[in-house]
Amino acid sequence: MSTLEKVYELILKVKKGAVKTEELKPEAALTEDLKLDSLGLMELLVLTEEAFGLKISKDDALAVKTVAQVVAYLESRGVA
Amino acid sequence: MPDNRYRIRPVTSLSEAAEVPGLFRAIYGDAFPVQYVYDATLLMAELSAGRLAASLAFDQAGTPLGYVSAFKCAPNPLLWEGGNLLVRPGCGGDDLAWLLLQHYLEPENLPYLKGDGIFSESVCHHYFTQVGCAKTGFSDCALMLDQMDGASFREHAPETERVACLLQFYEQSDPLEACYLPEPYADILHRLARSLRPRVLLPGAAALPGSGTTVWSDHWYADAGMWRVSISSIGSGWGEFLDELLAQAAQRRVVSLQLILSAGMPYVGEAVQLMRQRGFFFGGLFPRWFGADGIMLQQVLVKETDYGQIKLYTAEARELLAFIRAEREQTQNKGEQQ
Repeated sequence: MSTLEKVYELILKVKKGAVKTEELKPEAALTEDLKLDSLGLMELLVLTEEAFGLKISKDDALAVKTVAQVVAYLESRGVA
Repeated sequence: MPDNRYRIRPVTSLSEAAEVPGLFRAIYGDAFPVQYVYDATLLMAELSAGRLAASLAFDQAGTPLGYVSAFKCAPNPLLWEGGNLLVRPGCGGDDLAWLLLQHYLEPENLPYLKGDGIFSESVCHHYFTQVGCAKTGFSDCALMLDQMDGASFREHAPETERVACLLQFYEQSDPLEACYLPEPYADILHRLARSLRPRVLLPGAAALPGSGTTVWSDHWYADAGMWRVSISSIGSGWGEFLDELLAQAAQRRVVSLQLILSAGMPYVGEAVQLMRQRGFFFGGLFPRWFGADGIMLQQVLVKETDYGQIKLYTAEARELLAFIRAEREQTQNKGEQQ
């Protein structure tokens, strides 16, 4: 499974059925398009840390705004 | 880079305080259990008395979007609780809540520049406050099972009837008083204290006083069914005191009963022993609660705890919950055998 697919999976988990698979696109904005509120974003952060075995700083977490940016960030941290 | 989208500034005037009730009504209706947030005059009185420090967040057009505060509720007047953070629904959903969370950590936002510490009682049906505090340097210190009524959350409602809270603490001054440890909790208390400032930890194995009066204060949160009792010293008849307290708790239909013992008492070990015999189990460390640290023991009455719904971010918090569960089973079994 690619990093992008793993991130999609985590978003689906956080949204608990409130987002459709076809809405998941790399360019999708986490808040505007996927409607993740502050609690949802924090849950995604926690699940991402668990899934990829890393710690994400608050500044890095605030900097990513789209799915593609999440993937790029993870890949910059050495996640294959 | 400075964030120019919002202005976060302390509430200093009646006209600013008048913006607060509308924000709370937007989320809680009239059900928020703190009355002064609905009355600008009362809110200003709390601010003037030095019991509250509150800030509002505005957008560029001057519309109030969020609120955060720090307030006093511990016996130690140099301790602040941060909380009552809210963001108007649909506004600033990305990071305003995070900015507000960090805002109350800045000492200049509190009336006294230097306190002993600031703590958060972070709800455990989501991660937001817990993660924010953990990533800002707070330490996980205590876990209060079933502390809040789930029905009080209109937004982000939990899936359980009750909500646990995690006490997270940020220490701002060096502790001067020794912390006496009851033998059954010595290891876990050592671990909890490890991430705080250095403190003197000693065995609390002295005998309970045979005379004098128990000195205590309490907060009864009727809507939440939570009774918190702070014991700053113990006199004669500690067992009888506990029996009377449990009888009153049953009468009040308390769900979450929390007793915080001053760890400045060298006889805290014997005090804990009598509590465990009556079904109390470990809750954690309340740093600097009395000036000296506090050790919290708890009982959950009436309800069964749904452990599976307690979300904990750090390994330390999960380890604390595991200890609490084991200790609870042990003390309950003991109670059943007697």
